[in-house]
Amino acid sequence: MTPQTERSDGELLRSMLAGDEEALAALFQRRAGEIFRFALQMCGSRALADDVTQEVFMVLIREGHTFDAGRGSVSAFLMGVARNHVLRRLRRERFYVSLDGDSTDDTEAMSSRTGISRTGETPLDDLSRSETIQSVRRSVLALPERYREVIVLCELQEMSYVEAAEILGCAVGTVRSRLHRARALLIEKLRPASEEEAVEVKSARCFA
Amino acid sequence: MNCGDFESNVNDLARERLLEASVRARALAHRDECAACARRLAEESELSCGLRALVNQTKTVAVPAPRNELFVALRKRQTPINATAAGSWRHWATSGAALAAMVLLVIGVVVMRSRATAPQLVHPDPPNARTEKSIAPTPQAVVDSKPTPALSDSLAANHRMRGQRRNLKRTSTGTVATQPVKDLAAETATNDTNLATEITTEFMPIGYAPETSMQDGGQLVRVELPRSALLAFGLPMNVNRYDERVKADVFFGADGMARAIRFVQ
Repeated sequence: MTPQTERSDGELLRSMLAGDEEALAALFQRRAGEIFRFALQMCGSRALADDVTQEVFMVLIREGHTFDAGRGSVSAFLMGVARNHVLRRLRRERFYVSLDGDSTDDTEAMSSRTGISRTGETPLDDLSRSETIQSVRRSVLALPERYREVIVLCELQEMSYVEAAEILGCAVGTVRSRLHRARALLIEKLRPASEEEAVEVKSARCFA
Repeated sequence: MNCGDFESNVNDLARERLLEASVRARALAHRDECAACARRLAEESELSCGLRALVNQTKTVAVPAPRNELFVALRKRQTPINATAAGSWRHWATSGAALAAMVLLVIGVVVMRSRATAPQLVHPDPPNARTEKSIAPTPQAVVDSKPTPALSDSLAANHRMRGQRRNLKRTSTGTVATQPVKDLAAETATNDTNLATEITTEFMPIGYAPETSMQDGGQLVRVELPRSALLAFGLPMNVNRYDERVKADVFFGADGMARAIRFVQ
């Protein structure tokens, strides 16, 4: 019998739909990471990302028979479902105000726990790097959804334009232009406040 | 390369994506010439570094394990499919059986009703014109008047069984002591099989009756007579069964007088 690790996603999906729980576990182990990270980077909440990951596989169990291999890979199918769930949850959560502070608390705490300390770096460097990561994370979360998902897929998930276009259901050119715009927005957000003020003053002077 | 072309390639440059060597060389040359584009590329590179650090940090995040609900859902998904398939077959089988039972029930009811109503044809009082034809098969009958409908129908039933009838002789006259048992119609209604298996003689007239009295109707009564009564009507009798009784149907007119008789076996 073929080990689960050697089987393709399509084979695992078929086995899972036939009732093979090991196939479900193998597929989850293989694909849950990218789904969880995508959801985490999109919403910044570990609990929500966990929920989304479970919901995606629940959808796969219930509607996996609708998967058409001719239209894309299992991974793209799962990421597409994850994207829909994340956006739905984000739109739902928009109407609520968190009582325990920013939703980025999870990611910040996670960042402090999992911060990578490189050899030869002083604690100040480490702190600076951690702050940089946090500021990048906050900037990404502050992006509009259409730009955020492109940044998450192309930059944080390191997908190609084609893969991102497949998940987002748009043209490759659209992905490129959105990524360009998203990066420009991120740079604006990450620009130090003093420099931003200086630019504004300079602009004001120009128009004066 | 101008600033516009540089802007369209700055992302790929900062992300260290594959670029044509000539494009890359021209973009880097433009960066060296244009301070704004150099600063733009520096910002993009800084952003790429920050994003890469975020990627590395996120990769270390522990992925949650699959919840038990997933496996429960998978099991539930399998069960309804099998149950549905089996249930569907069972449903059709049950429906078919129920339909067949209903058809059989309806057929049974129809047959029972038809059999139950058949004897009633003996009793009603149809037009007398019908009875005239019914009595015709007995040309030797002394009773030349029209019989009652009960008698005519009984005679009609008698004709249907003529093929099984014995070759019995008849006498012209003779009276018998009758012993009423029950109405023939009631008997035939309750016991159809007896009607089908009974063999009867033709109705034989008893005495003389005017035609008018026969039109008033009458009653057919099943009686049991001594077997010697067969001899009284000229029919053969088995001597060995001398002490046994023989059944007979006696037709009583409206005036209460016995008008005809037939023997039944």
